[in-house]
Amino acid sequence: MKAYLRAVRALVRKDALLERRSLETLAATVAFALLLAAMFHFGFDIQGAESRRFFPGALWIALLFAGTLGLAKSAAADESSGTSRGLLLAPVDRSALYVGKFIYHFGFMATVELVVVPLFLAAFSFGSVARPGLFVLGLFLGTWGFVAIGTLLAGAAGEMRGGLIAPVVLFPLLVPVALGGVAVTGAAASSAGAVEPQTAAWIRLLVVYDVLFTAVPALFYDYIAEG
Amino acid sequence: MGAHGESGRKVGLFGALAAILVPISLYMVFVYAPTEATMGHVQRIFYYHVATAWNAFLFFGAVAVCSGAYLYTRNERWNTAARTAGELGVLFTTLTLIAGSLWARPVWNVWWTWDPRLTTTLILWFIYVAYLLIQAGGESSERQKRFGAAFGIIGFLDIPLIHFSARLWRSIHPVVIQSDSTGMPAEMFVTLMASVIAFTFLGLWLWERRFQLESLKERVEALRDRILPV
Repeated sequence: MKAYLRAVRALVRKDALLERRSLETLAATVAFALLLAAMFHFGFDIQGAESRRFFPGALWIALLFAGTLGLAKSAAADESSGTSRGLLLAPVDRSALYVGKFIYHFGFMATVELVVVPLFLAAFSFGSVARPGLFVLGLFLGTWGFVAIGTLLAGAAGEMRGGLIAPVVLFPLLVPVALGGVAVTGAAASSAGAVEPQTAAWIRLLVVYDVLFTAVPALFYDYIAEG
Repeated sequence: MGAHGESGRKVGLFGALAAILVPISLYMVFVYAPTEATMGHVQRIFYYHVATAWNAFLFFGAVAVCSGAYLYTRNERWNTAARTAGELGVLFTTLTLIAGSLWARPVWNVWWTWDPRLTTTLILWFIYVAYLLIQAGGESSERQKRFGAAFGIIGFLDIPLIHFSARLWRSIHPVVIQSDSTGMPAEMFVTLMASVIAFTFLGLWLWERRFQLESLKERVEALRDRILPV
């Protein structure tokens, strides 16, 4: 167990170190997400307070879109440097490779959101969030689900035929994350009070999704990533 | 499957059953089944709509099972079986969506609506199109095939969650078959079953043929590599 955790830590450190040196992927992902906020305003000609209605959808589309490209980019870097091949030779449990990548990607997305979400709130006329706890919970669960699936598949997708395939592969699987994330963060941002039964149902759904799609790749990574 | 099966001449059990059952189901759908009181003849689309939808789910299940078997055994034939099942799943989902749309226009007065079942079916279509895109990469590597298989399994596990989330999101699709009663006359139910069974064998026959064709293709490639080494 100790060796396992050490391997996971080393993997996370490796990716974090590489990213910190250039900040290239992080900067591009943040920039793209923010650019999408502007594009939404142009595309739907949103003005003033009515823009609040568009906030949760726009935020999640931007996060999933920019995040997909970010994940695919980080996986492609591993591929071209031969790192992914080397890692498979390392004498550690294969699932450690998945867990390590998962933690790094989660941290990556959390960093992106730290910048993007406040600016999105400002861009869509929110002064503050009505239920901050619920809002963060929605972001947390949605991001977890996205990263769980994204870590497994973005790499494979990014390797093939450029960038187009990654969203085509990931988005259909992410429908529950998109709908659930929008529902929870939307409710949390705009209305105060106790958690509605509808919102609670969304939270349960996201939890089931997150647990299922973290456990399945972690358990079967051995079969998938071989050789 | 020996040289016989791959010769492509034999019709096989599924083919024979499909050849008998499809004409019978045609007769039942267009002659035997009564005309629905309010919808009229357009209701007959239902027999095909349900049969193709059933086949779509059947083949998506087959993708998941064959993908699992491929990851476990690493036998190429399982991957071929999964890929060809994916092709048929996409084909039958496309037919389901088109038939449903043709029915919805006169009955619901729209071509499309974001009802949970429709949403789920559409997303299913997207999932398996993506699955085929992963698999289709010409010189698909060993690794790509394994990711395709993982995608095939995860996509299948995702279906109930997608359906549940689409239901939470919004819910006008008629629930025709409930647990306690079928909600339709016996003739209609019998016709529906006949149509479902006929389509099942038609689908299985198509799958068998696609699998044979792919196996032949792989054999031709292996032979070419042996005769004309690069």
